[in-house]
Formats: sequence, C-alpha cells, structure tokens
Amino acid sequence: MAETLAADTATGWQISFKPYRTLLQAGHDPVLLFRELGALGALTVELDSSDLPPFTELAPQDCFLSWQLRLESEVSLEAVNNIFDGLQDDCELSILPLHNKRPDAEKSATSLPAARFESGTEREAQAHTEATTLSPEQAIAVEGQIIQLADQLYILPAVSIIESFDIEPDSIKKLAPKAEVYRLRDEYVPLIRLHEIFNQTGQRDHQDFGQLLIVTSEGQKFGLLVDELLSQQSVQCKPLETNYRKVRGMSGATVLDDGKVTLILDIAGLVDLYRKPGLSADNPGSQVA
Amino acid sequence: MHNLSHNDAILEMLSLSDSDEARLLPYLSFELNQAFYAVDILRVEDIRGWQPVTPVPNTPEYLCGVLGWHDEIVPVIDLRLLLEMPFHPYSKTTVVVFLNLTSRRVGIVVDAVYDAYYVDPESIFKVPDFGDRVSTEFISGMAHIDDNLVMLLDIEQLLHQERLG
Repeated sequence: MAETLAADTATGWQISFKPYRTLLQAGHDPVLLFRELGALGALTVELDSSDLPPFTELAPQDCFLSWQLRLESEVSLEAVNNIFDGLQDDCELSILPLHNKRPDAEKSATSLPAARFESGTEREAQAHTEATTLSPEQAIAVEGQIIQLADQLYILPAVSIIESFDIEPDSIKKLAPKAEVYRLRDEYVPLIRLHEIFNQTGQRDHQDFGQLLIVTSEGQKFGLLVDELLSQQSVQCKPLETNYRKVRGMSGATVLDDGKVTLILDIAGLVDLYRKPGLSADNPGSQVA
Repeated sequence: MHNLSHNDAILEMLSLSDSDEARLLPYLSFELNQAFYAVDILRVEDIRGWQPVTPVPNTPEYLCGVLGWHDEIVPVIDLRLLLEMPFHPYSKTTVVVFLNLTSRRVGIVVDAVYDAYYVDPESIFKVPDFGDRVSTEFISGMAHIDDNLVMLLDIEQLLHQERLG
C-alpha cells in the first residue's frame, strides 16, 4: 500500500470505508455516499467482500461488505469528511492523500475521529469557511443548523457555530451608528444583525432579543443575531451558480423535506457584507434594459 | 400557421410531415402586460402555476427567488420586471415557465400561458426600430397569430448569464 501511494502522483484521497454490520439498519446507503463522492471528482470503487459469511449465515439487514475508494479531486479533506458526516458510529473510516508529496495534507489526514473537526472550536469554523466554495456542478453534504429570520428559514453550517445563546440586551454596546459589539465574557465581538445585511424586515427588527450565534471568520469572532434557532439537519448543499450566479453570503441552497428551498449561508461572505455594506447593492443584473 | 389545442399540441406536432416539421417553428405564446409574446417551445421543459419561491437577499428585484425543480435549484425571474414593465400581483393565471437554456435552467413568471403554435418562418416580420422608446434587442421577430400581434422572444439573449449576473 505504501509503495502504491509513493508512486501515485494524482491529487486526491484514498478512502478505506469499512461499515459495521449495523450500517444499513441505521438508514445509511453506501451507494448514495459513492454518488456524492463521485460528484467531487473521478471516483474508483473497489469492493472487498472478504468478510462475507457462509450463505446460511447471511442476514439481509446486515452489511458485510467494505470498500476501498480512490477519489481524484482537488477537494479538501473536510469536503470528503462531510460526505461521511453522521456515520461515525457505523463504520471504520480512514482518509489519506493519494500521494505523499503533500506533507501538509498527509499530516492532516488520519482516521475519521481525528480528521473530523470537533464542534465548538475556532479551527473548525475557519476550516469550514475555506471549504464552502463549490464548483457549479458540485453538491456536498452539510450538517446544517436551521435558523429563522423573519418569515424565512436559512441554514448555517453547524460546524461554523462555536456557541449560541439568548442575547442579553445589556451586553450590546454601540460604538458608532452602524457598529455594535457584544460583550462575550472577557472579550467584545462585532455584532452582525443578519436582517440588516439581508435588508429583511423581521418582527424583531428594532429589538434586542433573539439568538446570538458566535461564529469565526479569518480567526476573528463575530456574533450573528437571528430570530430563532430551529433544528439541525444533514442537507445537500447545491451551488446557486449552476443555474444563476454566486450570491455573496450564500454557499448554496438545499431542498428541505417539505419541498421548500432553503438558502445555506456562508460565514466569510456574511462578514464581507457586514464590513462592506455597499456590497449588498452589488447587483450586476440590475442594469438590464 | 396552425392553431394547436393545448392537449393535442404535441400529438399534432408528431403528425406533421417531415417537410412541415423542418420548415415550421414551434412556439409557446403567453401574455405579459396585455401583450403577447412567444418563446421557442423546444426550450420549454415545464409549466407550473405560480407558487411561492425562496427569495434570495441582495439580488435584483426581477429575481423572485429560487425553486426546487427536479434535482436542481432554479432561479425564477419575473419577466415583467426584467423587461421594466410594472409589477402585477400574481394570480391564478400566473405561471412559471421552466426553460432549458444552453448552459442552465431558468423559470420565467408570465401573466398567463396562451397557446402553442407552429409559425411559418416566412410569416415572421422584422421588428421596427423604435429607438430608445422600446427595447427590441430581445425580440427576434413578430407574427400575426389569431388576430394578435405576437412578439417572438430571443430567450437565450434575454436571459444571457452575463446579463443576469
């Protein structure tokens, strides 16, 4: 195996995917996973059936197969990890770079529990922000936190949220007419009112309550004020530029179980919109005669 | 020029002789601000009654929002607003026409779908030059259909990616 990797000059990931017997019972479908991986690049699937028991011991609800996957792609480790999101308890997984000429990549790649960013750290939020740019045809799995803003729902990648809580109005300090900070224990973080940068009128527009999400972008913390935090859900993020164009502050959209399309937010883009309010009026199409 | 009933349009298309099929151009006509327009019916993938869409913040007013169509996220554009016509509240006759363009899919909101027609290319006449009064760059020609003047839209040009952003 090591010799094979040393001779391989392609960019991508070698994935060893060994499901536990309970994988199918947990509702996971390996074929769907492979389709998602295939959307990221050239995928080669090699079946390992060496664990198949004698015919009389086969149980239709159990998984006895495992796979060696080779993904030739420029996608990040986290993008690959996202595909396997939610399978931590149902498989053994290792993800290694295809060749050993990328010491940074190899260093970061290891078995699933170590490669996956633990929720609640700045590192994960920053890493996710870097992974949210999709090519037009890609769709990636995202563990999403559904939030409500006025009468609209949005999805924020759960991995980008450090913490969330009910906002305390006394902790809001105004520095300038359009610049506020929130006192978070022993530090102050810029307060971003999402309805303002979306020019969206909400029921709580002029009031200081709602949920504050602490997120990071480029190493700096921000407080994102939304009306309400709803459930978490694993969703497929589809880029808007496939049929429209890139929209600042959005990494894509998904169709929820009720059939409604919900936009998926991009923290770095939101921070851009906050820092440069003029970008909100960046409507190249508005010049149409 | 052939007037096709809504239900039999496709069947009648199939029954045309090869020479007719090669010569005649199929169009779907619709109403917009009390005028009639038509698009190449081969671009039309679906027609659905108006349904609420998901608005996308900080985008032009003519972008109503996005809809899920099959496995894709499709932008829905109010053709009235794109053509700088006054907004008209959506009603029971308002429909979204899903178009398959060269590189993407787009839904356009029109007041009502009218009918499907074959148009003889020889019956299409040029659009007069109105100067700055009327923008005609997206109209490939005009035709008389059922005593109505119908403007044939160059939908590819109108919904060009660079134009929409």
